[in-house]
Amino acid sequence: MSGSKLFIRQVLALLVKDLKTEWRTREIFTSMFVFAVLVIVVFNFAIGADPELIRQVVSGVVWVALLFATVLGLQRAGQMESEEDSLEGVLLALHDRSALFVAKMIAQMLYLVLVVVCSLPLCGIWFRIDFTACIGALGVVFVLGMLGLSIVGTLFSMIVLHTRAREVMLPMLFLPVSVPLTIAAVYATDQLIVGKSLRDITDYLTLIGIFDIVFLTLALMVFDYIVED
Amino acid sequence: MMVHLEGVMKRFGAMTALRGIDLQLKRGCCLGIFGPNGAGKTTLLRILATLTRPSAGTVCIAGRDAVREAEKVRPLLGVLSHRTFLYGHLTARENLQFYGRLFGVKKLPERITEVLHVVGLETNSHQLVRTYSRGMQQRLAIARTILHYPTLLLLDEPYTSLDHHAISRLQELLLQLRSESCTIIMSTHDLHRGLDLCDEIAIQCRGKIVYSGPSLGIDIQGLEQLYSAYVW
Repeated sequence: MSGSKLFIRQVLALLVKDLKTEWRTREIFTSMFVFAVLVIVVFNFAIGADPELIRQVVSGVVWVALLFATVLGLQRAGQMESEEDSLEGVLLALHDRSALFVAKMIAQMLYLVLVVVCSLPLCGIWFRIDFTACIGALGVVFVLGMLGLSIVGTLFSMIVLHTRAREVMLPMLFLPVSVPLTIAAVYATDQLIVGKSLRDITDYLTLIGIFDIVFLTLALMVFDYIVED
Repeated sequence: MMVHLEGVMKRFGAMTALRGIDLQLKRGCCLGIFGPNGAGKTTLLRILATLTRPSAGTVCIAGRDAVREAEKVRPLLGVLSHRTFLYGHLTARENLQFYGRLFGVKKLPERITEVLHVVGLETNSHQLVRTYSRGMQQRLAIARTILHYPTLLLLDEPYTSLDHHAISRLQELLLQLRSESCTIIMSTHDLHRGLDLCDEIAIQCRGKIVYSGPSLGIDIQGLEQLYSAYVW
């Protein structure tokens, strides 16, 4: 079997395993979704009813919720792999270990997409913001932004997997590195909410795209060394 | 030579776990490594399994450098560790399907049925692994270890949690695999069973192999005396 076929088959096997486990336990999605909704609700109470203030902060609230939900999801996913040292069993079976990275990243991305699909309508209702007017363009920003979060998050979650204080280490590494991506995503979302088009936010999209490409390349290059004992 | 180790050392910070291990093992041989806790047996097996890099020395498996060509060595290995490498929320069959797909095992459903039969878990194969007893999990871990027809088995305390019947089945399985030219390296505290199975024995203590030789002509009393002489 050729290398690329084997790689794809291994990615699919890992992804199916992760999604099947999640379908049975619903631990990762539930914790991410509940946390994201709680963040939105808490900010809703904190901000008050001023429509102008709400418009100014809503995109920031959504991305902060996603950022912390990502941390929560990655921690649970890492815990699943460290039970019974399953990660080592997987590493022994992989020809190219970056298959594990790609599968974990796709799984994390799918959980984030589900969280956004379920929590954005609630956010719209509570903050009285109509997201449907720019839903297509918002989709582009969210997909690119969440891809970046998934790439960086998966990379750091594997780095901290064997550290003692991984619950603390993951946010300490992940959050500062995600700052450029988050800022660009918040501004891009904000511009779309006030009625701008995708063409108006090209700079932000380019920044997010570069972030995604740089970290994806870096992750694929170093992943083998990261998972080494 | 199936396994060739020369001057293998492993340091964890200030602590030296392995202090220059030399080892040679022919294809189809079975080596039993005995030694007290903390002797470095698990570290040695982890290095052979490509899970840990040695700090110094060379590790060759089937003529390949196990550090530089690890991805080519890994498919040859069947590793049974202290932990089972299994997923509790998947059934036994799903766990084996998962590992079988990763290894690219041909005729996977038939092979899964075969290995489940070998370890006596065919009737429980649709049960979630988290509902298994520790002994059943260990048996499933053995099935996972042999699923992809490995040519070198690395077994770390394989008899852990197994009942008398399961130990006999494992012993039969290992004898059969050995007769099929599968090379076996196992670490165990069970001198009796280790001696029954292995044609080469080694005693490891404080990160060094202090004794090695063929098991032929050594009975259990002789091995116990050797063990006491070198370890204590």
